[in-house]
Order: sequence, then C-alpha cells, then structure tokens
Amino acid sequence: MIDDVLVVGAGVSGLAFAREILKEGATDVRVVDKSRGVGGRCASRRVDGQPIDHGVPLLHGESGRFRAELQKLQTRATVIADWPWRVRGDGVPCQPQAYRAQAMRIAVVEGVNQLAKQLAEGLAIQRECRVDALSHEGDKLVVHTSTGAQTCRTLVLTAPADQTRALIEPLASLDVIRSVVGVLSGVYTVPSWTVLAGFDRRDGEDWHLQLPGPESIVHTIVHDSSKRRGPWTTLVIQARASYSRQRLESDPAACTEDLIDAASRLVGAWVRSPRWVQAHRWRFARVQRGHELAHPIVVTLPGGARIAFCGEAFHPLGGVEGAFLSGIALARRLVSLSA
Amino acid sequence: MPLTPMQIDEILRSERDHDCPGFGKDKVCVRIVAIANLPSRFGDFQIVAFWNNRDDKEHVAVVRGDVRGQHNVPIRVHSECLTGDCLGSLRCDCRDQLEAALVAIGKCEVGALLYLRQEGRGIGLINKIRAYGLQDHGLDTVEANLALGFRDEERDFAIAAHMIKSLDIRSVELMTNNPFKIAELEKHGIVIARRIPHELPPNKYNRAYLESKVAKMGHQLTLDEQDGTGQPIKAG
Repeated sequence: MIDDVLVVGAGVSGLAFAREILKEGATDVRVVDKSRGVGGRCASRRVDGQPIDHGVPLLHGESGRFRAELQKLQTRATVIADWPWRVRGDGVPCQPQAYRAQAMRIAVVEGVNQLAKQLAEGLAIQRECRVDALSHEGDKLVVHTSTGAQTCRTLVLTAPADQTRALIEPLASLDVIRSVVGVLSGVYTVPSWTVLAGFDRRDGEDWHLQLPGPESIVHTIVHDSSKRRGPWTTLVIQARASYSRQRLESDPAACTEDLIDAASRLVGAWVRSPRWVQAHRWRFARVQRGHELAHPIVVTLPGGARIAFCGEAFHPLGGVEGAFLSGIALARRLVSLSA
Repeated sequence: MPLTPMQIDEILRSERDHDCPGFGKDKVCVRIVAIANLPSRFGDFQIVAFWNNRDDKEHVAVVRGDVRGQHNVPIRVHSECLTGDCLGSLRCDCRDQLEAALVAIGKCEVGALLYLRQEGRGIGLINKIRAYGLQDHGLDTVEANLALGFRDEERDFAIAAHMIKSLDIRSVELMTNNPFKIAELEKHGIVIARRIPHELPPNKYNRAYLESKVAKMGHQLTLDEQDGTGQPIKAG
C-alpha cells in the first residue's frame, strides 16, 4: 500500500504518474508545480482568446498506451490528425520519429495543454508552489517550498534533469544519491529561446511548419494559427540550441529581434512587422536525443523514505510520449517495490 | 549430421505459416526465416536466423548437428555484448563465456548457442558505456545501473524459449551458472534435464563484476583466490 506521495511537477510525467498510482490504490498523492497552469512544456497560452502552443507544437505516439491517451483526448478536444503535413525545409525535427509512417501525429485545436488537463482531472494539484530545497529526517523527506514545508514518505521528482540534480545534490553524502547525481550529470538538456508573434490575419499561408537547416539560428517555425482559426495569424519561432545556449542570459528584446529577423528571411518580409510579440526562455526545452535513460529511478534512503525520478529523460523515447510512459513505468515500479 | 538442403527447405516452409499465441506476457512469437552453414574456428555449425514480433532485433542460433526431436541437447543462451564479444573488453567475461560455449558445443554431436541481440536498439549501447563511465568514478549502484540498463530479461527468455521450441529441441542441458535462466526457461515449458556449470577464471578487471554476479544475482560461481591464473574454477 502506497500513501503519502508528493509529486514535484505537474508536467505530463508527473500527472501520468499521479493518475496511475492512484489507479493502483495509492492514497494521499499530492502534486505541486511552480507555475499557474499544468502541463509543463506541454504549454499553451491564449491571446485574445486564441490558443497558442509555445512549447510542444504537436503530439505523437508510437506506444499503444499513449495512443489510447491521444484517442481519449478527442472526446474533450478537437484534434487535427497528421498535422503538420505541409512541412518546409530540410532541417531535422526535434523528434524525427514523429514523422515515421506508423506514428500517430496530432495537433490540438484548443491547445496542446488539453492533454495535461485531461491527465490532471481529479488530482490534488497545488499551483504556484516552487520547491527550493530538500532535507531528510528519519523516514520522511522534508520539501521546502515557496508556500512552506511539506513532508512525505515518497517524493517523486519530475523536473528537467538539471533542476532535479541541483535539488538532490545537498543529499549527495548518501551513496545512492551520489550515484543518481552521476547518472543525471550524463543527461544533457537543450535550451530554446522562443518567440511568439502575432500578425494581422493573412490568408494564403498554407504551410504548417518550417525546419530550416543548421545555417539558421532558428530551429523550428511553427505556423501556429494553421491549427485553429482566430483573430491573429501566429508564428512560434524556436531558436536552435547553440544560439539559445549562448544568449541564455541575454535581453529578451534582443533575442526577439534576432529571431524575427531570421524568421523573416525564411518565411517572408511580412514577418518583420508583427502586431505583438512575446518571448519565452525555455532553459530546459528538451533532453538532447541520445541522452535519455532507460527507466525511471527509485532510491530508498536510510530510514525508508524514497525518492523517485521520472520524466522525459527517463524513457528511451524522450519527448511527451517518453514523459508519459516514464510516469506510468514509475507508478508500476513503486507498486511492485511495495508489494 | 547437419541439416541437408532438403531438410532446411522443409523447415523454412513449415515455419512460413507459423502462428502461435506467443510466449510470456508480451506474447512473443518467433519464426525461423533463414538457415545456412557456418564453418567457424570453433567447428562446423549451421546458423539459424529468427524473426520475432516484438523487439525489431534479429536473433540467431548457432547450431551443431540436427537437434530436431533430440533430448538432453547442450544449450548456451548468450546475450550480445559488443564490447566483450567483438572488441575483446576485459570489463566483462562475455567473450570468454561465448568462446568456451562454442568450443564445448563444437565438440558435441548436437548442441546450440542462442545469440540474443540486445544492444544497439534505442540507446542500449550508449547507456552501457555510460554505466562503465559511472563505474570508473566509483558510482556503481544497482539504481544507477537499472536506470541505464535496457534489458527486459523476461522478454529475452520468452524469445529464447520460443527459439528452443522452434528448433524442436525436446529437453536441454543448460550451460549456465545463473539459476534465474533455468527458472525463466522452465516457466516457458522448456525441459531442463540438467545444468552444465559454465565457469571461467576471472581477470583483474572483471573480478568485481563477477563477484557482484554472485552477490546480487545469485550466480553459482566459485571465484578462485588468485586472479588470471588461467586455472579453471570448480563449479559452485
């Protein structure tokens, strides 16, 4: 019997984990997240009521389990099957497997974070609660957050590898933690400066996605408004990792200017005059392909408290599907450990 | 006697339509799709190539003589290890195990080595090398290795068991020190007539690895007091 679980991060892996472990009969499962919404990098905003996905642009699935989740999504949202099918450029997408013939690939009209909302149904989630530090006392873990300290017997960390590593490093006098820090040090995450830009409606832009080659600082340009009708024509411009790494601490306005300029050379001069722009810095946009681990991790500390790890980095598929599957795999693992 | 071309034809034809409920929880099913002679430095063998419905890997059996319908066939189940098998790494005893098994089977009338392909799928090899890196830094824990490990042993043995069934081997003498392998194969209906101990001397690089096999995985090994003497070690 599992009880007293605290999940850090209401992204896809944390939510999939929480839902699965509750299904397995666990009690007292709480989720905390630093932001206002759920979904982590499965992120959507609204501008004048029009959703815009500024993290993950599409969902794709290979495994039966995740496909079933995507099927279920069609009961609460409108999906566009096979989006994007008009792709320009010969750059390499973040997740090449999304474009394999057998992959199921969808865009969500109401916003990609509908998936997170679906997973979050019925879960106890505390938003705007940032975890700052951890300590270990007897059979409990103490989690120090921006809204006070919380204790738990099982702590599930789902943040990007770098953040998780920083959080557990103070406990590295314990051998088990030291080796997990070692494992996480081998997982590289890639940043991405992202610019959201709105234009007066333009008809005739019939493309969905553009993937320029390595000569551009832009990695992906998403024609976001090709997923839905709204007052604006919108583009989401995601910068290449090398550019983003160099400019990580730069002024957002300067990065916006760079990316708008680069995008206009790829898409057309009209991109130079957006009616509005927003910049978003993804410090940990994704796990570098090839760095994913095989499984989630569970360590038991002296005294019996457990720290478990899941997320995109803990499943060989990576991406949203990897995050989802790692959460489910972790729930099963914890259940089998406590049996 | 090895299979004749006519017998090979017959096997391939009957395997063509092979259909079964599958082995284990993943319903693993394998089919023999090609057979050829394989003269090797370890003796004359035939190699049997299998297709399977689960893991996109091409597993093979290196077979001595005509094993069909035979009892007490010496069998070794070997998991691919690129660094050991091909590159001669001393961090593990894989190549020694592989060569000893092929030498032993090469001296028998009948026998087979199942070579299960494990690495190279997804990130298996990368993560194994990462695990070696962690070991170099003394960060070798069960948790770390589990996170880096890619093997689904349950599935591996379902595949091995089905391969033995496809080869129409009635009972086996399993060359192993690993009681888990015996239990797993028996679970899938393979009759294990006896265990043939498969022990080799450790070297200074893999002694710790072999000791952890005994301690953590219940292997039946007697590790000699002296390293690298080349003396065979008694069965545990």
